[in-house]
Amino acid sequence: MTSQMIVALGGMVLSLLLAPLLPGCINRVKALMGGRKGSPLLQLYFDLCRLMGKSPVYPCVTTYFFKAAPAACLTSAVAALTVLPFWPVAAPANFSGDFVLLAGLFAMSRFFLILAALDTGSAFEGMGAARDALFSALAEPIFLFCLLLLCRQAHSLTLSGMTTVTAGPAAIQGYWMFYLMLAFALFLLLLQENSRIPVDDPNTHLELTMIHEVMILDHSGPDLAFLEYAAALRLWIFSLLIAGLVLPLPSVPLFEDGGSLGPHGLAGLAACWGITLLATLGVGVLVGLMESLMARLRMERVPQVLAMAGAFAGLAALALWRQA
Amino acid sequence: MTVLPVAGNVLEMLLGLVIISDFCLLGAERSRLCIRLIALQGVILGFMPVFAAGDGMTPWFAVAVAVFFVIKGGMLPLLLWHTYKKLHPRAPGASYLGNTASVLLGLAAFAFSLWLNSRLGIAANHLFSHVFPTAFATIFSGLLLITSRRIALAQIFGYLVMENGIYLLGAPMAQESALWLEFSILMDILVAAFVMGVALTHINRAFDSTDVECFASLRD
Repeated sequence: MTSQMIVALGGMVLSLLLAPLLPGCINRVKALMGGRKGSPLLQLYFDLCRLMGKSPVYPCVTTYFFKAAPAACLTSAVAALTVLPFWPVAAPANFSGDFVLLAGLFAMSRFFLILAALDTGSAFEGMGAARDALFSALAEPIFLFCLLLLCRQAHSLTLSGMTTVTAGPAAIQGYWMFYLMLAFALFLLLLQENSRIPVDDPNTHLELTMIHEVMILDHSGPDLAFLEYAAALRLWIFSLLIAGLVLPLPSVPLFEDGGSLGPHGLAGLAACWGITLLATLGVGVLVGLMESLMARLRMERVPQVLAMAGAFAGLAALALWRQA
Repeated sequence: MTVLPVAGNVLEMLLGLVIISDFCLLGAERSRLCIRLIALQGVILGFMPVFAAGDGMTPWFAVAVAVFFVIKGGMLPLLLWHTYKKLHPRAPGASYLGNTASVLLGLAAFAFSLWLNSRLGIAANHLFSHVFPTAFATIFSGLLLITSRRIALAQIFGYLVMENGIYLLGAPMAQESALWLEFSILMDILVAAFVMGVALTHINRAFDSTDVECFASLRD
């Protein structure tokens, strides 16, 4: 195993460990903005530990789909991490068209979650599943379009290539408008895909207005822990996408000719990881601010948010065309 | 006239923010959010003459730019806010077209302005060709707000956005002589906003509504 692969896997492990920190960060920002003390930063870690110690309870009307969904959601989220680069090295598994796999893994996770929600036979969960299916169907083409634009700008078909293309200020000269528009589009998609305000309120428990939370109402114990952790991972992946793809981070030469990490390489790696983590948590802070300053939209207005995301992606395409 | 690389990047980001605020205005319904967006746009546009001035920044020019900054980023939004607070609380300002159609039309306007910019081919002023697509799209957004909104206050927003676009179009030619012309236009806008604010308050007091649909049919 090469040093580069070890570093890439290290980045992935770091993501797996720190993903639950992001919802905690968002909740802290919301608490600060609301003048409250708020829950601890590590609250989700405590919740996951508590849930893992319990036994699952299954409704008698459900089939094996209901039991398989949590594992499928978590597996797809972890698999998505393998194609996601953690600056400054490429992803552990990077190949041409890996961004399509990323979108596919998200879709698979959602498919199993919707199946599990419908499997319970609950009207409320069915309603949440229908909403999630509709909004995801609208969001997915926009997400793929954003990634295709990045492909076009980077002249690369891998997610890792998209991040390392911006080699210094010269490469990004004149593309600021493009990156800004794309960041906005991806940020709106982040809010939709992770069921955050203004699309959905993760803290509400009024079934009539819920999307993601209503679909996991009947899960319990380790299954619920899997789903909560998978949701945290998905939020982390989107934040890392915005931080890693849209922020013009230069490629950093960390490895010596032999392929090993030098003493300066180690310090450089720590600095790069620190910057990446700060940028990712920064996206979380932005989400927290957004949730503090806005109310949840009426359900009929959610497609308008996605239309805005599409419009910003279109603007990014025009900005790219202008520079071509 | 060339833009320095760093200044060019900053200008690019500022223009991007102007476009984003245009689109948010087209998609927004709530007056409070619209006023905030107009204030943001005013603050961004306040910086524009600095890019045009380059090395030719005189103290007088700097004062003029500061006055622009205060009027566009402070006075006009405050005036709008004052008017908004005086009006009866009512449903958000709906659009004849619908918000999604407005945003898509804005997108088409930006595409058209890019095409137009490529056809104009103004090589003499590099900054003008840089700013033109955003300025044109902003003017179009203002026009769209004026023509498609039902609430009179939202039509004033459109008027101000359109003026911002005109100002942006004039920014690359900002020299002291051109600034006087801009000043006179800005003063007209300020007075117009005052007049409209007062008129709106009176209309609201008399008819309990500022929906322009209600003015189409007269009754005793």
